[in-house]
Amino acid sequence: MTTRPAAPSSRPSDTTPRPPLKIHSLAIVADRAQITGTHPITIGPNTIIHPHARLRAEKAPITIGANCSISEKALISTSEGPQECVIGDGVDIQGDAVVEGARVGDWSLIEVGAKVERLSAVGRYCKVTALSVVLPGEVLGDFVVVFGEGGRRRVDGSLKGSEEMRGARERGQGMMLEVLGKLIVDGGVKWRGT
Amino acid sequence: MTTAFPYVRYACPCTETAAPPLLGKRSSQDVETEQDEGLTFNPHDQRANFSLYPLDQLLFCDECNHTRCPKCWTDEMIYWYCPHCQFDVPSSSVKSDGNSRPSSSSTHLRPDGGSSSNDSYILHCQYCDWSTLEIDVKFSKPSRITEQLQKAWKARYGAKEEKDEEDRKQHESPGTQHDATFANLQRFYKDQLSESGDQPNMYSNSPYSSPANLARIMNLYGGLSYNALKKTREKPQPMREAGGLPEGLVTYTEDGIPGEEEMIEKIKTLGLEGTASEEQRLTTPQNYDTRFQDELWPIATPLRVRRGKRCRTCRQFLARPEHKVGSMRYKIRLLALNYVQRLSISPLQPTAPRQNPSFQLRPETLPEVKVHPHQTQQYILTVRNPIFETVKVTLATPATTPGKVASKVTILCPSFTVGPAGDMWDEALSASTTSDGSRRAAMASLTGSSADGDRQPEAGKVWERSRNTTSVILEVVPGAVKSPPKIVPDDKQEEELTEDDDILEIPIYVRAEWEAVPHDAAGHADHKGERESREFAYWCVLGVARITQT
Repeated sequence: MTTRPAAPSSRPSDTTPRPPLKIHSLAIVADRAQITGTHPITIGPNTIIHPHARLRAEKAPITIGANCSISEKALISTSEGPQECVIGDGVDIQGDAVVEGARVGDWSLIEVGAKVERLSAVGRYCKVTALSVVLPGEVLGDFVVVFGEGGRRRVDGSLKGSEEMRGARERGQGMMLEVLGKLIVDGGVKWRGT
Repeated sequence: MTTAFPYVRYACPCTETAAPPLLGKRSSQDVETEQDEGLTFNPHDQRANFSLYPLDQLLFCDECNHTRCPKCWTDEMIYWYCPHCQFDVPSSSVKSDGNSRPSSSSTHLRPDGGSSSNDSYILHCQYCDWSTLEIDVKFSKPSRITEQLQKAWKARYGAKEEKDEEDRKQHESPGTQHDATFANLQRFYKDQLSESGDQPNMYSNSPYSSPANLARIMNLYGGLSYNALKKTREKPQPMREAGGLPEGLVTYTEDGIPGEEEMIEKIKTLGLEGTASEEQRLTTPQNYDTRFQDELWPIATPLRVRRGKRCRTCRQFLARPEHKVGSMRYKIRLLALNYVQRLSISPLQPTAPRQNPSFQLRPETLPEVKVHPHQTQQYILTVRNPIFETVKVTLATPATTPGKVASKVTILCPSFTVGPAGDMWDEALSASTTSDGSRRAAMASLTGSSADGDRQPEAGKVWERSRNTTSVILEVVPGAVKSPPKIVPDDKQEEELTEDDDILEIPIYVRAEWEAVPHDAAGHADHKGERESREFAYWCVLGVARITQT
């Protein structure tokens, strides 16, 4: 065979220096996840980092809470400034979404291709729908939904008013993590080595 | 006129007969056409605009043997479907639930099974997370959502409306009682309809499938009762419009609306974004008085319909779509294209290779075709036959065109036959094998020098003939737009020319005769040899060009 695929040693995650990682023992970080940078990255319990999810702690540390799910092609980075990136508990960041040096509150949902820009803050139980953008420096309160053309914002009254609905979202996230835990294999020694 | 020259329009005969012919008098059309023969169709008449159509917009009723234009067919709803999920809603449920799909709405609401406490359901939008909890509505079962929503709305606002009505009785100011007003309005118009003597079909609730057919049968047996006859003789009363509150008319008053102060306060806190847009408010009468987004009531998706077309005269289906959501095909579609001879016209000596406007890529403005007055022009008039029988065509045209600009028109060969339509390949193959000069002809067409380029049009001879087309020569001498200055001053005021009067439009009466196997005998073996002769006649208008002013 003349055209052999590139040797595994040429993969970026192997050549670039691994950042100081602090991964909880119950978290699952896939082998093919791309974790780069020089600043510390903390990952909480039960959190799942999918294959090809990108974490880039280039200019500031990244902290991810418990029960999160970071999907493939999602990008969590601090490569644009010295702001820390803090993801709360139970956050679902879906494919191709970008969180750049921002804070995301507990049980929020960042959908496919959504963008949370620098210096912004997303509250608790928020939802940034697919392809919506949270502008740089914007601060969203709790229960805000960003949706529609032109990025409309509304406060989700049903989540705000009902303990049950919030419980449903938390339960849903738990069920999703349960299934994903069976499907995604932990990278093991690659991320947890000495 | 924006259409490119030359064009051909077909006159639908429906305007000549003010009312559609009565049932059971189908043969009357022949009588009418005979009467019309004395009259010439005037394309510059103001009424003509309403009866001329391009051939592809017309349908054909083979029962009445007539073309049918949008004015002489009726639309009929064939089926209802949801535009979001393409669900085919049975007509029975449409009749009971109204014209809306119960389980999904314009905001894609879906029943969110069991996310609330035991045995209660909510509608929940998966996209923006809106749910009926925001307006404090819960459902007891996940079906019949429209009905339950209606009940909830009545429970909440119905009581308020009754109170409003009492208030109104005291203060004499119209409130927000839409239901009561609508009921009044409906009652008023029903009374008007029954008074105006426009009697509905008496047999409409009969067990027979077609009320029109039944009416015809009853006519045959002298069925009309004395009262009904009396009613028909009475002159219909003109309908009038609603004119007051008891008749359901509510006029806008500038009196203060109750709770206005509160609303202003709410706007101050919520801002303009919190108010309901006009579009949202007009979705349903329940939202007409809603001012804020958090008070909007959910509505079910309005359903769409596919329509079929029926002949007004004999109720036959002219077009009937397939009963399948998403399919654009038709079960029945009687296009006039397949029944009526297609006429087309082109200049005998083309000035430039003209591009067909249908094949234009960019919407360029075509160079306008102009003709000079008093210069004889020759045109090739081609008649294409869509029928599978040989047709004898007779053309007739007035010697001078009607209208303010009189042009002289002569058809060199007004009577000829057109061969039957058939397979396209037959023509191609037969043409290449039978004619010995095919090679020469092909060469001639390639080099551009037509073999019979010096051929002169002759009177009484067909110009060109192929399998199902025949071309004849039309000679036109366009009239002058401005009449020459008179030597003797005339008292008669000269008629002002209006727009489009300078267009050279030639009315032509086409009469086609052919022999065909009768409808009834098609199945019977003993009638096989019999042929019946058919004929079909119509006016059409050839738009040739604009006549130059100078």
